[in-house]
Amino acid sequence: MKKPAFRSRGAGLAGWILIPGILACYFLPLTMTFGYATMNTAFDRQFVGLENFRYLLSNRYFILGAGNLLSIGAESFTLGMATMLGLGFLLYSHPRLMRRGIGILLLPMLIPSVSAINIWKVVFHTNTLMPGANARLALITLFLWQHTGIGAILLALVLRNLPGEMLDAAALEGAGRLRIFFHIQLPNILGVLAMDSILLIMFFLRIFKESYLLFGQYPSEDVYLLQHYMNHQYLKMNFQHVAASAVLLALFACVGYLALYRLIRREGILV
Amino acid sequence: MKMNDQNVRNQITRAIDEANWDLNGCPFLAEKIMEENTSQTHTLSRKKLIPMISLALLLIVVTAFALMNRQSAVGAYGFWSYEDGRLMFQGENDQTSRIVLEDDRILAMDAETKSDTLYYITRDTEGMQLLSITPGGYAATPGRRINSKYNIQELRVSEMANGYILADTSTGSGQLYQIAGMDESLTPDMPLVTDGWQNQGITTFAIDQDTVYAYRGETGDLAVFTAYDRKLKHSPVTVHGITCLEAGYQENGVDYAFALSDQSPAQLLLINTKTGEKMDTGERTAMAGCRLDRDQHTLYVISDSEKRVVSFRISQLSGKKTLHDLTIVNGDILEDACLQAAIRMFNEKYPDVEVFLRYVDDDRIIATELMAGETGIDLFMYRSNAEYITGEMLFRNGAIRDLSAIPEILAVLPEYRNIWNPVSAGGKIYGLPINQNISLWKVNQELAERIGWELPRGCWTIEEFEQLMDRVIEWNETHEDQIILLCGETEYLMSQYESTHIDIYAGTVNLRTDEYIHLLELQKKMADHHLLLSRRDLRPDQSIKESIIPQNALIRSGLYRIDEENIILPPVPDPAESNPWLATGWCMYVNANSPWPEETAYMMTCLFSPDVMSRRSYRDNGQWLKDKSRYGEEDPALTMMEGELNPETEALYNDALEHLTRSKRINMLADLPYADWVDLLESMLMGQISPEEYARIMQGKTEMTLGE
Repeated sequence: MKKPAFRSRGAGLAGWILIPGILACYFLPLTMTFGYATMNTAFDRQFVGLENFRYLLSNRYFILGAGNLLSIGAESFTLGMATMLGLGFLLYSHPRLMRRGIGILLLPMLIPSVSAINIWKVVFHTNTLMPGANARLALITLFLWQHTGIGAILLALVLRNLPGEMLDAAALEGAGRLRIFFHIQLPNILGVLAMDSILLIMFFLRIFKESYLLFGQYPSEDVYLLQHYMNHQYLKMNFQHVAASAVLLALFACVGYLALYRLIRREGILV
Repeated sequence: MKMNDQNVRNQITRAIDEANWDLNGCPFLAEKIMEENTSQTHTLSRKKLIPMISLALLLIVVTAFALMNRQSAVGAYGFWSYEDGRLMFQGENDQTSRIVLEDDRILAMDAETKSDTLYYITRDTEGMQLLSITPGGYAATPGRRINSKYNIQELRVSEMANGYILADTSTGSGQLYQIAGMDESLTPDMPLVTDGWQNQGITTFAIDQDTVYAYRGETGDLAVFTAYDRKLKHSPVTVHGITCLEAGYQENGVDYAFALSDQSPAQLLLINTKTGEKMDTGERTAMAGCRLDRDQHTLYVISDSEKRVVSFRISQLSGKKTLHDLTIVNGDILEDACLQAAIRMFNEKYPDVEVFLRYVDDDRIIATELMAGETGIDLFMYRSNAEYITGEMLFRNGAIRDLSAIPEILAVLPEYRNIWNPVSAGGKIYGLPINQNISLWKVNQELAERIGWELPRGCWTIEEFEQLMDRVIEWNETHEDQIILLCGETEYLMSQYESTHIDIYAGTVNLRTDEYIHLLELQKKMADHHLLLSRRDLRPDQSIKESIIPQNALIRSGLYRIDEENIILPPVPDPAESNPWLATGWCMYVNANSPWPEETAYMMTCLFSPDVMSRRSYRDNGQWLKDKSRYGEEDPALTMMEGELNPETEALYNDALEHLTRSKRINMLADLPYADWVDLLESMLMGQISPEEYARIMQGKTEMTLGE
């Protein structure tokens, strides 16, 4: 079917604006970053090919940082999703709680990390020498406290908008709570769950600030993140390593987001 | 008052009589008039008027004084102003000025040309005092009393409270007095007396690092002296029609001064102080009552309300054509005579490049500017153990130049002692050490004799130190007078081992060794027997040099100079270690990213020149050159103040100088906050964690820093 002319013109105009924007804001910086990643230092600027990538992939602390980012990320993501679901259903089941809970759950996001950190420092006695398990616990609980509230509210709002007749009919047909959850509610909230997942991943990639405030520049090895590594390389003026790390992280993020996006498209979650 | 009232009453009565007013029928009215007039006279009686008028006059005087007592001074990197009893500072990058001090008794002030330290004269109940203050609000020097009979007109300071005051004194008006040093009891203020010149009737004067310019308005005499020995540089010249003076620059051995003419509008003049020739710079100011002030590179016209009206770049006023600047950051840590000689040498080859000195008080700013690739940082002075990034790290990532690649520098190295280990890596030299503060030990000779310990001459070992420790423990167990073995830097032995076993350039650290653990056990043993007195135990108001020296402390660890007595080298774990002695200090580096590679290399060559370095004070980090005779005679005032050199300490110091390692503060290197590190150390000393655990943690933290 032929598209209306004004839609084509609009799309064309949008393209003319977007493509240079994407080129200027993403493609160009990434290309420059890749260029720096192939130099020996930012001062000598001699081409060394993939030497910096080889260095990073054989560097113990890069591997450690990347590994911790993945493992703490996985723990935070799993616990975060579970907390969101739990809180979301709690709010949905108790409408009075919902009315008062929104403010309370949004508050942690509004409080600056620097202020919240003080409470965690007192409760967990955090410092740069803090042993691993406790340090992880402090970091993950802070993450959950700050970032799960918004997801829970989104979930509760979507659940509340599900047609009550559908749930009543299922109950009349003899479906139990679990059956209703898995066969009616869960398929209907997949879209918002996908959105929550993306939010959680985004928030987690920004956890470095909180980690830095809790444990200082050089924390124990159990909470040493890839961002620590990159920050230190920057401070030591090893810009070539910062650039190579950024390229690797961008690649990883692109692959991850692409996989998630394809999954969402295939399941038709957001459509 | 009664007499006065009666007079008035009589006058009124007489006036009524003379007017022939018929008031006889109205005695009440006459009485009323008289009453009113006498009561008015009563209110304005002299007894009440005098205090009122006095009070009003006082108020007018105080207000006028407050309004008039405005002053200002140009520092190297900012501007001081004084108004309404508030002393304010505005840095060159600040939008507004901020109050540093509130004191309504400041009479005169001036700032050092090389720094922003302000010197000011204040009057208190005991007389007058010369005080100093930094922009941060700290006193840079102790106060110095000044003869309270002086009527001070002007203060000019060159460096470290050395300067001159222009004052009316009991011996004459408009006299120049030198105030040298910080202690009036050691160097009292002296009138500027010299043959062929009369110290009277001076109307304005100026001072720079080593030259004093004095002008007598009545006769037009302009005289130039060397600041240090107060001798005339040449015969005074006659220059008429000048209202104020400011130091200019030196060219071909001639001192040039800036001045404002007494015409309206005032001309900005450049005066050849040798011939008296006045040259019009072409600049004018229409404002009356202006004066001149300057920092290192800029001349300011200051209005009578103490505001900077206009500024001129001095190099442009001198007629120089500048292609570009070369900036040395924190170069003023080097002695001025040395730095200026290097700049003169540099300008002989590059006359069109102006060397700028810039002050940055935070290493992080230098590091950030290097990171950002900013200009204005061609050569820079950096602390050798800077917190965020060390010299080795900068060299490893190519941010600073390899000086061994400059042939002119290689050529002069044989003239120096081998002082390069703290600035060398991979067989290359990357910096010029400006200070080498060596950690040494000072022994309480009396205590040493009491316990029968003979001071080690030269290198001695940890085993010998342990024997000494056992001897002190035994003494303490059998005597009432308890001896402290080590005070001050009580972790010296640990620091020494850490510094010699951390290689920042190679990125390696080795602390999990039996030797290190043995040192930790030794430390714990000393703590268990109360043989340590750390500087951390000092109260904030105590100083390490004075208060910490209890009479029962045998050894004090710290930074000592070559005029001290009973100084020994600290013990070493391995006598075969080639560079065991710890030192901290500042080094000069060349930014590899400077847009002027040739010029920066040549400037460093000039700084490396033995001719330049021989201008340093031998006593203070001046032992770099092997040939002591290259250094000039020491200032007798310095010798008087600091004492004679100690030959034994001098020999020991020079020996240590050739076997230095850079002190690496491990807690700083591993970014272990000081408080956390102290807690960790205390835990180890109190037995809460074992020395092995301490070594494991320190190894891990340092490995992480270096291994990334």
